[in-house]
Amino acid sequence: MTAPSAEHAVGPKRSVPTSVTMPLLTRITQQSLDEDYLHVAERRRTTSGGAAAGRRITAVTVVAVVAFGLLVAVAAVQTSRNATVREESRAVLISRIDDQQKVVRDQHQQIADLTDQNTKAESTYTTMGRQLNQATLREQALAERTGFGPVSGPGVQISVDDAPNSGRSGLVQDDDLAQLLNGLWSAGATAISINGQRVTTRSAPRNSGTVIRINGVSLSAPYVVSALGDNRTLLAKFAETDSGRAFRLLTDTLAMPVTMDNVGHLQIPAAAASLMELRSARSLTGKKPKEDN
Amino acid sequence: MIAALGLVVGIVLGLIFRPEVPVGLEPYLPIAVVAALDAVFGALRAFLDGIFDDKVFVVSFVSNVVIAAGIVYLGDKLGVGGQLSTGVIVVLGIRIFSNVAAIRRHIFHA
Repeated sequence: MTAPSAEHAVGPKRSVPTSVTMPLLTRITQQSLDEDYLHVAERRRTTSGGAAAGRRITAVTVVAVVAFGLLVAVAAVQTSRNATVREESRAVLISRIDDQQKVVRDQHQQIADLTDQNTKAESTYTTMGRQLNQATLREQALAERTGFGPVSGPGVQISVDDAPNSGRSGLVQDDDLAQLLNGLWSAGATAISINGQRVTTRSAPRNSGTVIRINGVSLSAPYVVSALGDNRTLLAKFAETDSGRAFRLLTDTLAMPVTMDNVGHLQIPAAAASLMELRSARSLTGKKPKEDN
Repeated sequence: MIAALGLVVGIVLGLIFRPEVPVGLEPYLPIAVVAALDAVFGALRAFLDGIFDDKVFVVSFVSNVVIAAGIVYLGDKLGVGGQLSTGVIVVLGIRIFSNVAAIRRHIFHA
């Protein structure tokens, strides 16, 4: 790239012009002036024999210089104009970024709010679920006690029949059955059915001609009363109650056939749901008791 | 003197009229200016050397501008982008610098 090396390269091959072998940068530096100026000056010197015309400036030159000035000014104006446009678009972009960031911020806020609400709703849901469980358990217990839920377990079975050959007075009456039921309740029975009809808190045996109706269903003798309870003590306790004694006296007097058995596993069905009608209601706040009928 | 006046007139005209450059020609303008600058400095040096010729100046001015624009166009079309223009700028820049150095020697005799 230096001058000595260039000369060195030229050495062996004299036929090659220096303009070909000279390194590019050196050539650019040395020939920075257009060669044409030199050529034209040389030609002029040989033809007219003088270099007087070397500093003549014509109208063409002035026009070219004006064009150059115009070019520079236009380029400068254009650059500054572009700079303005760029600045404006930059400002627009920045404002749009700000807007979008605000939107994102709002949405983050919304997410936080919704998460809060979600948490609250979830805790409410958990509370409600617990209340529902308690209510279900309570309903189940109440259904078993009131007679609207099926129950099973150990118990006793007592069957009583009309006294044979004693006419109308030997028929089992509703009062007799009521004695039996009352005795069993007092002895600690938890659920009772007669001939498969569950005795609920609202059931009562009623005479209807020669049959006994309970829960709106007619039953006929023999009456099989199933009672759930501790079958080791239930029968003994029953015998000691007033109702039990009265029942014993009655059946003995009228010679009604009675059998009493302990049963290991009794199934007592639920009463028909149609029997479960609203009789009274109380508002949860407990202010106004309201009677249905 | 008259050439310097011409330059001032040209700049003033450009600033007054502020002509709108078509978008398609916009990328050629800066490199055309550099090419024209090279031609102008070359002419100034030739003038000081006493070998100035108006025909050579005008021809070199126009051809410089056209070739510079053509190279940018070619670079765009070839997909080399600004790299070809960079080469042109480097060569023209070196020429401008050495011409300005020669002019400086003439003016300050140093």
